[in-house]
Parts: sequence; structure tokens; C-alpha cells
Amino acid sequence: MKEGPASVLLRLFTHPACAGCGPVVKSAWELHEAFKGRFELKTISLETKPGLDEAFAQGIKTIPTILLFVEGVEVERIIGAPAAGQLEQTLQKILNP
Amino acid sequence: MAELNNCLFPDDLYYSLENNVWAQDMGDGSFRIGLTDVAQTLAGSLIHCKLQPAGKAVKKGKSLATVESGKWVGPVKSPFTGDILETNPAAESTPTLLNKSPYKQGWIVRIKPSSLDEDKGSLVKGAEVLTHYKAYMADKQVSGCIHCEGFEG
Repeated sequence: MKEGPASVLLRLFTHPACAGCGPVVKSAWELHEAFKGRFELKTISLETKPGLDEAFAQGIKTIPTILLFVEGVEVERIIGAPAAGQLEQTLQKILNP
Repeated sequence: MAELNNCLFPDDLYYSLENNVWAQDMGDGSFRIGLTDVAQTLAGSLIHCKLQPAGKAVKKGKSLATVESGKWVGPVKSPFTGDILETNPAAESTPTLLNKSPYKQGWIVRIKPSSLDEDKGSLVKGAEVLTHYKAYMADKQVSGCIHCEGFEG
């Protein structure tokens, strides 16, 4: 198996009032644990002004949205709650190329 | 549907910029009133909506309802002088409808204006809407609107 990339970051844009966001946050943290921290996970709440500013800067229009970065470069954008298994498959593809 | 930085403005509605509400001509002399996408964005997720009762007379600029979010509480101001004909019970029982569906399910009251020609003069419609809201959003430092999945407009 080839070694995965040195730096993988998952940024998850969310809001406490977004009904569909909670399960995605939970699933992202579960995957973070399952992959033993092989990627960095950052949740960004749009409840705060800095979170909103960051979302606008990234061109986010809908939450939840997940951005995946490999060595600082965005490689995947999942808009809305991902289908079952979609996020895990995406992470597998990135972490175990 | 007009769009400005992801904030939506249906073409068939009138907009009261000073009150940040829309008005929909129901074709029978009455108008439905609700919060704009910009207003619901500024307010944040709404937790309470207390409506004035049907039958009540209101003046232009006075309260049709009081809405409250985690960060803001304030009136929804009427763009017309007139009588409230009907209220939307779903807006009161599920205030987040005003966030999720500000132009459809989240309407607030239906009102019959008594000075329609006079009051309509302060409303904007069509191409003017974006020009006005561009300035308004810059003034209020609203970068744009971000919607939860399932947003209905």
C-alpha cells in the first residue's frame, strides 16, 4: 500500500440550527476516530461572525458543506449531507491512494 | 428569482426595504407579508414568533409580529396601514419556517391595506430590488445568505 498524503484537512461548515448538520458532524468525528487521526478535522460554525466570514470566503452557499484539502489544496467539496458511506469512501480514496 | 450573493428575491413580490419584509399581492385586495431572505439571515435561527391577532388594525411601520432569535428580538413592521385578515399559525408554532421557507411556508400575516396606492409607493419590485438591496447589505455588512440544506426559498 502506498503511503497517504502528509496533510489532509476536513473542514465541515455547520450551524446548530441546521437540522441536517448534526448527524454529519457526528459522522465526521466518528470517521476521525476510525481513521486514527490521519486527517485533521475542523468544524466551522456559522453561528459566529468569523465562521460566517470564512464560509463566504470559501464560497459556501449551503450547509452542511464539507471541504477536503490535501496539502493545502481543495480536492473535494461535498455540498449537503453526504449519502451513507460517501464520506468514508472519499476519505479512503484520499488516505489510501 | 433574483439573487444577490446567494440571497434570494422572488420576482413577483414587492419589497419594503425600510422594514425588510416582502408583500405578495393575493389578487383580492389583500397582501401576504413575510421576512426577506436577508432579514432571516440577519436575525439568525428564530426561536419565537408572536403574531398580532387577525382582525387587528395596524399602521404602516407598526408591528405585525415579534420575532426572536438567539441574538436578536424585534418587530416585523407592516409595510401597509390596514387590517390583519389572517395569520399563519405555522409561523408561530414553528418559527424556523421563517428561516427555512421565508417566501412560502413562512409567511406571517395577510393584511388588507386601507391606503394601498399611498403605501405601495414606498415598495420596490423587479430590477430595482437588487440595486436597493446591494446598498442595504453593504450598509448592514451582510456578505450574503447561506442556507441550510432543505431551504425552500
